[in-house]
Amino acid sequence: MFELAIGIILGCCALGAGIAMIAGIGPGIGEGNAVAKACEAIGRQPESKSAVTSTMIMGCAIAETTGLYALVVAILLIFVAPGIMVDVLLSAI
Amino acid sequence: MFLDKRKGTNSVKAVNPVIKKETTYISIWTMALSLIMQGVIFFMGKWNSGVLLGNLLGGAAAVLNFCLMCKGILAAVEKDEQDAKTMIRMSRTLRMFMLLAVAAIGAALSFFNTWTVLISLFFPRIAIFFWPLFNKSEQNVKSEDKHE
Repeated sequence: MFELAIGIILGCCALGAGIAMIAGIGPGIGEGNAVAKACEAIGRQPESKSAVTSTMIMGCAIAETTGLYALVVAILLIFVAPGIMVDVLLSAI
Repeated sequence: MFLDKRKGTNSVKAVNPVIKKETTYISIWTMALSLIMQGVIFFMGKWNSGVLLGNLLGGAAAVLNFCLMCKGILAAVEKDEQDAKTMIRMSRTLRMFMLLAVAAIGAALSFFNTWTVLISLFFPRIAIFFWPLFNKSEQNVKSEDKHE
């Protein structure tokens, strides 16, 4: 019974980490679109390349943070959460 | 160091000024925030070598990630729209794998403090939060120069 409970905890943590990483898809699509639009803008006004690039880099870095949150949640679910859950289980028993 | 073989000299290949400027800004902020975090943990009485090593690993990965992102974006801007999209998505996927590896190493190895590795990854985001303030002051200086 105890082994089953630990198996369920580990399985749920792995599943949760996988679901959390779905959030990593969005920033990739968003960054791609932002850069595509920046290409368009630079093509129209080549003299503003430096300003557009600088602003776009910061925009992309902000967009990327969303993916980073997902990554951190996934890492915590894989490496930290199982230990805490098993401790809780042991103390309950 | 990149050597110019055609000329036979030691001239270093010029780094794009935009990458240099933004990476310097992010690096300075990451170092400052790292020092603050170390100070806070020290005063909490929980400082050990794992905290320092974790901070170094996470901070270095965050700055490297930002630098690679800048390089990827600047390379993509030179291409057409569809190629730029594909290139950025590929670059992001590879960088995500790099961060995943760094975070997994930080969490799995006992001589790194997991929390400091993960917190350090967010320092560039905090730096970008303050970016408009500095950028605004630079723009004001430029516009004042133009008026004069």
